[in-house]
Amino acid sequence: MAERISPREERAIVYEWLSSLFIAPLSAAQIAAYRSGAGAELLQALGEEPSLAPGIAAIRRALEALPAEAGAAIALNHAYVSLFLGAGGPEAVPPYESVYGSEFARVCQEPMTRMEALLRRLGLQVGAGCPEPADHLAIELAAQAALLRRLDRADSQAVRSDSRDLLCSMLAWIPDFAALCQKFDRTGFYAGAAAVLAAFLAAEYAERDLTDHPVSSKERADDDAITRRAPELRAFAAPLPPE
Amino acid sequence: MLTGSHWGAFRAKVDNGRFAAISPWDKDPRPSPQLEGILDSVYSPTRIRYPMVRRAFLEKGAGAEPETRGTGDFVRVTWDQALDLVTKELKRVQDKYGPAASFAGSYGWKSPGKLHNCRTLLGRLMNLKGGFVNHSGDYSTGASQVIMPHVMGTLEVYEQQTAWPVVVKDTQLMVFWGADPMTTNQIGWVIPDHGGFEGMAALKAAGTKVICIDPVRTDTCTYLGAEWIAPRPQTDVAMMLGVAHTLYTEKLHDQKFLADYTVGFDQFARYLTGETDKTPKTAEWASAICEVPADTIKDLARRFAKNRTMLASGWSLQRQHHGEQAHWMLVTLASMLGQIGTAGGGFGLSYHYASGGSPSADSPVLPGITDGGKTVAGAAWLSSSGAASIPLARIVDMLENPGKEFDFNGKRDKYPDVKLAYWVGGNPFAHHQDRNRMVAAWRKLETFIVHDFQWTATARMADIVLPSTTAYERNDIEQVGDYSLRAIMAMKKVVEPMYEARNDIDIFAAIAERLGKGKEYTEGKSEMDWIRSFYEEAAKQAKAKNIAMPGFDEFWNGAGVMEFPVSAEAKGFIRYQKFREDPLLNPLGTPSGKIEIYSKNIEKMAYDDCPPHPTWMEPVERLGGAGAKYPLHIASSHPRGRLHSQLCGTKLRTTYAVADREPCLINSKDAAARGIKDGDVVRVFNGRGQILAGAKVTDDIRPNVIRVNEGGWYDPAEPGKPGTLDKYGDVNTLTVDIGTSKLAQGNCGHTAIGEVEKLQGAAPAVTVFAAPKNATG
Repeated sequence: MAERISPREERAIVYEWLSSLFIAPLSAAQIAAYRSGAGAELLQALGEEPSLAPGIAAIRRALEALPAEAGAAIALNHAYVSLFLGAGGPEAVPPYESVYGSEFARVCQEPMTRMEALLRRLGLQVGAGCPEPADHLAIELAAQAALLRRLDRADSQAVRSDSRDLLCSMLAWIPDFAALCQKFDRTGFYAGAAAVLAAFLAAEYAERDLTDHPVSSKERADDDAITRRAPELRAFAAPLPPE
Repeated sequence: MLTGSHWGAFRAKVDNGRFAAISPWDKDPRPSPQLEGILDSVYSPTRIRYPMVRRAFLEKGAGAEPETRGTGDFVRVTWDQALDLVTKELKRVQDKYGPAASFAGSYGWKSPGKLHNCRTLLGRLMNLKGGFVNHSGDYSTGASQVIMPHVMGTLEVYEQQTAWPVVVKDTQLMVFWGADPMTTNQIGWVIPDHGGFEGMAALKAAGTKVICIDPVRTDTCTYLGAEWIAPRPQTDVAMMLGVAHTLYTEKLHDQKFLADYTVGFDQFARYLTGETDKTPKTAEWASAICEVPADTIKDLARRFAKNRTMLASGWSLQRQHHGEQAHWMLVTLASMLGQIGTAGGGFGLSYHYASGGSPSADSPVLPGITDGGKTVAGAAWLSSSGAASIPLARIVDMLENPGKEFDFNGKRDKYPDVKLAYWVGGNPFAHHQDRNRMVAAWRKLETFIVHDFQWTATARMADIVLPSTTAYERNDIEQVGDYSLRAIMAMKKVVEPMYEARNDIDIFAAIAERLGKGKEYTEGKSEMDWIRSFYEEAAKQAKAKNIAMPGFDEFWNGAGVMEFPVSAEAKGFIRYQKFREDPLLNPLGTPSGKIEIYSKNIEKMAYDDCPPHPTWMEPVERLGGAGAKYPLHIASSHPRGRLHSQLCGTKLRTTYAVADREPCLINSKDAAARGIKDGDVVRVFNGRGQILAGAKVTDDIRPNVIRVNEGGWYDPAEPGKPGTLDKYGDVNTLTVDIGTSKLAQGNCGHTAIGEVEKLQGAAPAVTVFAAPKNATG
């Protein structure tokens, strides 16, 4: 790309890319692209980022281990259905923030309501063909991408606040989500993708802008919570054990 | 708004279209703690979201690679694709193999509601399609519901009991034999009224002496401070014979009652005393079998005779090999005591279920949707083959042996050759026995279609999976109180359907439409049209009883509940009182009009496994049985905290730290002998299979018995490999799949012996999935 894109746009692209991995199973064409096409270039570029390198390496190893051509899409579809559409039963990994937030694993809890409100503020809504709660991982990632682009167009405290809050709430559940993916994904692809996700969010948090306003007590509480989970997050930036 | 469930009526709080909270109906005397689980069902993380088809089935057609069922390799499809596929399959199987090739008996607990009765709705479709193989019986009372008509002339098991106020006032000795009403009365087939808890609270307050005969010290036992007697499981008939023998030899039995109200006691007595088989059924004889001391057995006989005694039995006793004998012998024992039809005396088979004994209200019967009952003209198979129905629990036998003859309640029939099964509102891969055998037999099916709202082991075994709504995503109407029928309640829709879930009725109507039978299926009625028609039918009946019911709109938009009065007479109801008052004027529905301790009808059947009077027969395997291969009995009772197999209240966060497994209750002596500690992962196994469970060491279970509740998720470590380990504790991997006897062909979910050991090494490694080498996209 000849045109220079802003740092926020780069980040938005990564958020969108992650969202695309979790919204639906990959097609054979998409997998082919990841093996040797535009997707492979993207993986290459992301892999140069030290914190993301281990997760990207895991994704590439998984792609190599998958069968050729259509067989790969079959294998990943199977994994996707088992992990994220519930067919794995006790070995499913629900992709909804609500499930991880409280004592009982239920969807459509407060995180969904919060995300619905955020989407309304952004003037967005979940597409008609997508009957998923608004706290679906892919939707949260897409919302963050939208927030970053909004900031590029018109910076504001309110939007920064939304972006920061979304990042913090994701950091509260993604480590658990990623750990379950590691445990139950037999292909290694989604384990890798979730590792990249966790490492990316950790890096986002580490590089957040601290200079623009006084730290509120809520933000201090968020910081404490995230710091406590730092070892788990660091684990995703460390090399994953070989298959 | 107000609505209801298997756990009771409740008010749902809705916040911006979200089901936010549940509070019990203020008229529920004892709301179940399980109500909270309703939120878990609607918002389960394992909801089935989209129509799914097994990949091999979709790509290669019906019957392709059946050994790959259960691996979760599904492809998402649109509703139109799914409905077209289902229709095509129903037509194909009907055209190619005839109507007796589709099994749609579909057993299960579904949800309450007179309209959205998915099992009936399925039958309605299949009748319009051209017929299907139905079932008779159920897994609750499979044996007793067949033998009781021979003995008492009526179904007995689902009929109103002597009212609790009578029991509280007049029963002096309450015996719960294999029953745990504190646990099981939480649920009901319709919306439970929980009146049984009021009864038991009053019993407790009255200080009535209670005995619990059970291998486990149950919640009921603890609650009532009862005396706990723990015989070996499956030996209750022997124990009862020991009691009967004591009554007989000590002349404590009521000869007049036996003479006036029963037939066949003399023949039975010759068996009891050993005249026929040289084995007197003494207390000592019984003790050697059941492991209850002979003196205790004799003491029970004397106490039963001396007191006004109610023998309240649960259904575990008959869910075993020769299960027919248990309640037959119980009735014989009660007949010897001579208190049947007295206030607070006799026997009862439903105090533990849906609050039997909760006094009946004077109420109309609320009708519901029917399955049509008519078959398409030209369905000659119904008259010629006669195999329109099988005893439900013989389903695997049917798949293994098409065309084979089987006995059932005096008749001989042939198993049909079934190629397609359609299951809604149930989870056979939880409730059926001998899981490994079942998985192998299921491969015979070319097509397996399932509706459910959440992923179950059954859904995962399907070829076509359709997401249906929960009862809280649609409107309906239902009664409150299986026995009391004390109210009619609106079941108002709480939230819009989740994901792409649809109501079963709409799924079936769409298929019917594709079959050209849309109008016949729906009768042009909307959901609210149907509900209104049921209510208005009930209102007509009520009017005839001089009970005024508001108009439907006032009912539906107003209180949403119509309660009916309970008369003093109902509170004083005594079962079989009229029979006792005048057995000639009020005979039983038996050939003799009396209690048949000896049944000539059963004698004519000449079944080797069901003699003409109550008989002790060794089950195929039991704790302490001769040649028993394993040292422990495996009890498989209903879990306390959920309804059968629903994944309620899952604490997901812990699943990756310590796998959440079914608890395995184990006595401290048995645990110590095996080096098992509380919390250990254990392997429970026998010749039929092996499962993992989590040990819970307690002396609330007797030695040599372990208990793993039914309902665990069947998850084989290596699908397709015979004898593979089930990782999450589906106890039906271990149970035996035989009929109780040729009479009832009921299920034997409580017949299983096995062994337990601490799991050696790490939990089984996850095997890497590899796509088939020749897979094409």
